[in-house]
Amino acid sequence: MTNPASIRWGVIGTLVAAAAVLFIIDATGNSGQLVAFLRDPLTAVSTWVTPPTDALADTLAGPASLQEALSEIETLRRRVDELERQNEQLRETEGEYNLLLSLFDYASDSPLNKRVIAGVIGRDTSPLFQSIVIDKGTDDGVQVGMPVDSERGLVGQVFRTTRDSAMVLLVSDSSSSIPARLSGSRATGLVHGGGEGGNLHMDWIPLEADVELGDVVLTSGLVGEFDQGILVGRFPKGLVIGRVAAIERSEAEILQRAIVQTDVVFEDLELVFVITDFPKEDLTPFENPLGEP
Amino acid sequence: MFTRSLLVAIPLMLFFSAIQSAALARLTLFGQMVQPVILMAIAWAILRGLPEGITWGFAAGLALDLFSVGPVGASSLALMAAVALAAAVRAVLPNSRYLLPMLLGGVCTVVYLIFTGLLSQIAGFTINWDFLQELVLVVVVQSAAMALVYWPLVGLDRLLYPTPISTLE
Repeated sequence: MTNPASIRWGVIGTLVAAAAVLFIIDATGNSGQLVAFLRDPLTAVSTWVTPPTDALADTLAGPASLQEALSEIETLRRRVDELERQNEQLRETEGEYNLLLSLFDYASDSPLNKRVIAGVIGRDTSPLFQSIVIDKGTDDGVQVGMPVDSERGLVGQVFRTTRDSAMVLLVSDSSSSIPARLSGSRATGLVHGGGEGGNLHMDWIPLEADVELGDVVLTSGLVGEFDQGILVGRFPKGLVIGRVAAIERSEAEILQRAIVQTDVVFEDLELVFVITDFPKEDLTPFENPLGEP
Repeated sequence: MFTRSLLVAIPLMLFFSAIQSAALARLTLFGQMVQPVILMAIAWAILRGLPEGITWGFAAGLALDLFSVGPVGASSLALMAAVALAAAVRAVLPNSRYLLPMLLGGVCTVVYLIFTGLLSQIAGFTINWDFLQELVLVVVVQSAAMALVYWPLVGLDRLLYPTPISTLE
């Protein structure tokens, strides 16, 4: 006859073993279908709950008094004036840039990224990770690894997909690592996330590179993955990540580090763009840098 | 016994994980996210003991991992450790209607977070351990939230396992 106590311990042991097996399956990258099967029905719940929550969160985060609101309006007016002035300057720069492009016949090769608009329907349930859930999945052409951006800059990249939703690992997550370039010195490095409340930082910048505060940090398009046997960039080059807010130099080291400030307010994201296709650059020469036969 | 508990736990945890992801992640208290799903598993361990607590911990962890980029299974393992602690403390300390559940809600959440972080690092994730500096806030917020989570589960416990009333002839 089976002892009830042994049944209990058997169940406990089975559940612990099941969790451990799931952990191992996921670590080997084979949990996608299980996650998709379980989560797809829940996407509807997320979609219903998000809009009223966003409205409530915006209300709670809004100005607490009339005086505060008036002060905020004044600040925003000044900001609009400043942005209009910057916009004019940028138009001029853009004109010069386009002229140069046409001169070098680059215009026809200029990147034309295909984008899918996605709504943000959830956030990571663990405070240890920085990610969002979007309402577009494999049915809409979204695949793991695709970059995600917004009108304010790079947001992250698709980490997991289901049929009608996807999880996006934010650039602010500690595990995020993106090849980047500085607009001024053209020096390259890697932008890492700082986790919750932490700053983005760009590492591996050569010490001789002239890094200045305010330099725009862009995706470099370098370092990538294999696509049909060809080494290609994982991100299109030229996506804005942020600006250099501080520089950490140490003469004892051969590299320097920049603290990067992004304009993206990750907590308030409501709409993002998934870049489903972009002109890939052939990086095959990097596979054989010495040119050996 | 386990089947009935699991049949309730799975839909409940899936639903509240979806709510936690869609709604509660934006509505923070002192900068901390309220995590009701973790509290529900801990509360059930306090109410029903280790075996059922483990069952709920497994279901809760799996549901949380569906809405997280963290490794699948890590939350289940971490929550099972947290509910084991809750059940062990509950068995040793005298019963308390308010203080013990609230205290365990906060402390076991911290245990869960540390275990999840360690398991995620083993799986290759980079974890920013700076959150350890805010553990006091995590404990305060989760303990306060436990007061809201615990009593509905006491009701659910009575519903699932009604105590037989003996009548005098």
